[in-house]
Amino acid sequence: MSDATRTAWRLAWRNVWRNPRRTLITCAAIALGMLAMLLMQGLVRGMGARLVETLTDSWLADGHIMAEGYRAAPDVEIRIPDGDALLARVRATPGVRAASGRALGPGMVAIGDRSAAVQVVGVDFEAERGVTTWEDGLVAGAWPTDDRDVLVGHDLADELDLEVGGPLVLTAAHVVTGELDSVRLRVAGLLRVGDPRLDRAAAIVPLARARAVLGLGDGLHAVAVRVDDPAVLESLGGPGLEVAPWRTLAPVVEQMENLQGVSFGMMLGIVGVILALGILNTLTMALIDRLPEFGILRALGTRPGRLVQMILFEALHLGLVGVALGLLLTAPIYAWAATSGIPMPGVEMGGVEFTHPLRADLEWGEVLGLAASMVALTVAVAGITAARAARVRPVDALRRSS
Amino acid sequence: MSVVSLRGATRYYETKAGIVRALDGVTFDIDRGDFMVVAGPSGSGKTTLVNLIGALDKPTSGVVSIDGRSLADLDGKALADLRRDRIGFVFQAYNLVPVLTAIENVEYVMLLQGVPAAERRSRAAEMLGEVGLGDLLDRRPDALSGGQQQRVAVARALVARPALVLADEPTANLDSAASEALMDLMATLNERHRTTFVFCTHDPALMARARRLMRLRDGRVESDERIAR
Repeated sequence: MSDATRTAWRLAWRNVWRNPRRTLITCAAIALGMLAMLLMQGLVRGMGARLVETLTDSWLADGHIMAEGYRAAPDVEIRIPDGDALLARVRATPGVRAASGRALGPGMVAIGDRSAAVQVVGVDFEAERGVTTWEDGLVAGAWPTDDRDVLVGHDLADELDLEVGGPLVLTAAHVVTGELDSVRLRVAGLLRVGDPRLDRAAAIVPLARARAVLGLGDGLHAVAVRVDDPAVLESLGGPGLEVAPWRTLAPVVEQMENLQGVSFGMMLGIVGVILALGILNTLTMALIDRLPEFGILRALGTRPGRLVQMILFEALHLGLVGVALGLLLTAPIYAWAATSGIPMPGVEMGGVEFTHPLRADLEWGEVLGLAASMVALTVAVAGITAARAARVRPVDALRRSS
Repeated sequence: MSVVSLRGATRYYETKAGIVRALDGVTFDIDRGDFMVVAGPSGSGKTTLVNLIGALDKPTSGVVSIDGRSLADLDGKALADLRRDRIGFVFQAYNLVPVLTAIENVEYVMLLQGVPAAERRSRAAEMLGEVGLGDLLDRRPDALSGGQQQRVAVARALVARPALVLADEPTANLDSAASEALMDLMATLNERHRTTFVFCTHDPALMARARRLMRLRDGRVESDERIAR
């Protein structure tokens, strides 16, 4: 750094603090902009993460293996014929953490004169523990242990006025004969996982019971898998099988992310423009106040480029102080939003209910990126002022001082 | 060779009331070592003349040359370099940079010239000593009196040893003793280094020391006399 550049840097720092009130107002605007953008970004990301977590933990796991055609048209007749053999092969594959077979079909549950259409979900309760977090979503009762136990969603229980330990009749049609078969079950527990498919319209029964009622033999409709590496999923396919990672199974997530990206970008743009106008206004006022001084500097032989450099340095100082203030202001609020979170009872997104508080989630890269953007914005806006200052003729500027 | 040369220099301003002829076809030379006072009533064109001589402005027509270089041929960067290297300014309103200390203000032009830091500091301190401010080097302008600020401005104008010093009412805000000391200093520099001084002033004391007195009226040279001292 040359001597003149060092002096311009020092001069710029002193200039920034010539009018502390104006500087603090500008820095406060930058800091509040930082706070708004970081929190917004953190919450949007937290919302996305929560959506993915809820979908994968409550149903999708890392992916499903299904019979070809089932995903496009989920028909009870389209099934993996030798489900137990597939399950054994999948569980033996390195990189597979857990796998759980599922038998699915339409059914109806009834108690007294109250009834509701449901999806029968047959699972191996022991295996399901490794794939989903349903057990954490138990709001009443206990994890099923008996082959007559059934788990129902909290909302369905409300609708039918079900009680833990009480009876429930499940009726479903046999896939081969088409005959209806009813079985009397006991409500072992009530679930609330945030996924309406489970909370409102599912009867989760032991796999053997579902297979028997639906007439599936040892067939399965899906094998939910947890893997260490998404690449492992691809190796689990075979003839007549389709392997679908969770993103494929829930396209709504990608749509939601795209939508969030666009809306967040727009919000960032609006905040950025407001901020830029504020900074421009402050710097322009400062420019008008200091015009005679710029005239003096030019009269003494300061080249226009040197003047521009000094003003940009001032903006850089302003931006850095503003960003530092912004980080100080954001840190405690973000810490609260990331740990305690914001309760969002009853709020749904993509059909998923936020059963837990929404927690902000940011990465350091994003924070640094935004901080750099704020500084760059300040310097860029100052560029407009600097260009105007550089164009001022010294004789005109000096006239203002006399 | 003359330091400054004006040939038919005019400077017109367009105002709502019409065209104002601030300087109207002025022709004269300023030689090296001149100790010159430009006098005249308000509106006679003194400030416009100083702006042209100081390369702060360009003529509407005619030619203004400094060191043989016509201002019309110079762009903003070259004009800045010319002012930095050849001209020292003392403005009536002091015009110090408020965030720089006295010594930093005096160093500023040398900094632009690329003079090494140690030399800069030593020359600036010496010059401030010469104007009687040797013990106020680190004071900022707002901690100096009007007279002290004017002396800093004079030190700043002289320290880079310019060929030409332009001073607009340099003694206007000084008491008589300070004014006398300042004039002595400038006269000494004029004699020792043959630095050219051009003053715009109404101060009779300064006019009495001039070796060349030019009077302007309505943008024209009314009289231009050399005075033997």
